Amino acid sequence: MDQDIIRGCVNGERLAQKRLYEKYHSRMLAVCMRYSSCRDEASTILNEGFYKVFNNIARFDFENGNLEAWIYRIMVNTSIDHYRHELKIRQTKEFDANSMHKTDHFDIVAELSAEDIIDLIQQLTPAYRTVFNMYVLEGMQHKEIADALKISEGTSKSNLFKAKAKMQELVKQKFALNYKGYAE
Amino acid sequence: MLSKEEQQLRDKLQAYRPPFEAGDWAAMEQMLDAKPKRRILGWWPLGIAALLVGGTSVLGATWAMNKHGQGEQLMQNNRPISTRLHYENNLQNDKSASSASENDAISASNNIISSNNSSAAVPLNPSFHSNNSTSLSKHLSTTNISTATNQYNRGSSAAPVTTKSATAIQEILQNLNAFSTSIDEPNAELPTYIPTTAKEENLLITSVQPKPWHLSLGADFGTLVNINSYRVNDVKKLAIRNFLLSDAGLNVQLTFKNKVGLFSGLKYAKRPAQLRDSLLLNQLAGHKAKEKAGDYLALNIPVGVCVALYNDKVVSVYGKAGINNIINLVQESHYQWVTEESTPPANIAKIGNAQLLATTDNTAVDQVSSPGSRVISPKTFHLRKAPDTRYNCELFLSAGASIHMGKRCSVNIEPSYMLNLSTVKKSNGTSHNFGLNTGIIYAF
Repeated sequence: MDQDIIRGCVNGERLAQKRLYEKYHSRMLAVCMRYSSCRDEASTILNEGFYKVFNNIARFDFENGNLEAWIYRIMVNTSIDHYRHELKIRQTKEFDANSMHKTDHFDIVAELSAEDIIDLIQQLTPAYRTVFNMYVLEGMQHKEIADALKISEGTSKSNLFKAKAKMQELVKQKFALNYKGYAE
Repeated sequence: MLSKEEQQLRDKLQAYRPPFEAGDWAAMEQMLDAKPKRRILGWWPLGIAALLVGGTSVLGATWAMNKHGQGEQLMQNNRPISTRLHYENNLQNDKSASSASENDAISASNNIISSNNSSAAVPLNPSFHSNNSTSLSKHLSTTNISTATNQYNRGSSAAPVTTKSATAIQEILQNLNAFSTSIDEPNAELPTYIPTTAKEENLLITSVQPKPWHLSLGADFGTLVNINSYRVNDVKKLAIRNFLLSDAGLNVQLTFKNKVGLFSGLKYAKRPAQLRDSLLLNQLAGHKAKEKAGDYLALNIPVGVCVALYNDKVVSVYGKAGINNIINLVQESHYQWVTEESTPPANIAKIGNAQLLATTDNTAVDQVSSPGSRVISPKTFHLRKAPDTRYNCELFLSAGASIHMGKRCSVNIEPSYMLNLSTVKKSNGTSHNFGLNTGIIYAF
């Protein structure tokens, strides 16, 4: 089925493009949402990513390749490109790792829904969010992250550290709010 | 190595599927339906290319000027001088005016006339030099001399002709008329005019010879009104600022036939910087801060084309178009906020290596009431830091008028419009600049 869609996309058929888009939309939007601050930004990144997919699908080896993994990689790269583009506009503050205190583990992660986690991730600054995604969710090493974002390994580590600390703080705030809601 | 919690988080997110929204596909279709983007050269390569073209033109002009100078020297050293000496010798030693001296004189007159209007002069047939004196005189009197005279009468701007030199030229032309007539009448006396001094000779050789190009140097200074539309937190804002003495520097211009010119230059300028939603501004937001202005201290290298629209002895009007290459050296930003502290927040200097230049209290007009109904003066902090962008460039359109002050010097006044091309590409704003420059030009 995928092969028919791919052939249609290679020929520029709009129906095939729509089917591909609908098939991978939710999966890829979830990826983009992790890298963005809101859903609108995520859908912009998603469409940029799909635009690249449609323009380059002729290069995809549909005999041996995994289409979902290929699209996933494009989405992650587009998200990182988007972050780097934004970085030029905003000055992103990098924190000194030495000044940080050690954070606790995410004890209450199990209590959170995926939507809650996405919401918390979106509250992080772009620098923290990107490093957090790349390390925790994509499984990349700090050296790879540093190369991709053109930052030092130390900055990558400290941003991750701080991202986790911020996440923990946000989680606590969220639970405090929920608790207050229940109490009332 | 991920912790258990991190693994848990990862699993949850990987299983997460947000709902499909038809609006996303509609936006995607719109993107697909849009014409494929043409690959436009980045402003960097475009600016460098413009710089190379300008540089090459200036170097070429220098080379051409040197070459032309050598040519003048040769002509001065060889033909006219030798012709004069030969002619004088013949006059003194051979009163019968031999055919050789006639030929030399003809060739000298040919030089003079054809140099007077090089574009209009018809090359003479060598046979004229020996036998066909009648057709030669006719040719001289009807074509070249009349063209030259007309040019003089029109006061053509092709070559700068002063009253003194114009009188001398008219005298020469009258003598040549008499001379050409004398060829028709072998018994008539030879013309009396012979250039006898070096000054006169130079006048003949150089002054009346029009240059197809000339080089001018200028210095100018000006003012700039900047209209900057920008976004802060998705709110569109408009800032209008004025800079006095915004740029000052040197221009070099190469003009061809007084009609089209290539210009370049080097100026030290104060350029408006794009106002932007910087982290600094966000951090200062807690202190009710707002960015008042951002300026770049920069080097400008304009490169472009100039077209003469009207040329007169007193005034010339011209139009210019080109690109301003702007190399930013330092950025100065001015932030205003209401604070009870006499010094800015401690974190300010850590951002972007900013260096605090000065703090000023604002006027009473700007005073605002604090929540405690106490009146606090807002303060403006002037910061200096490394520029956000090292290079940007502007489209440059202007029209100006030059008032000629004597033979070589003129004073110009030039209103201009500049559209910052670098900011057009970015989503957070556009910068329009309206300038007014005045300057002095010296033509070589």
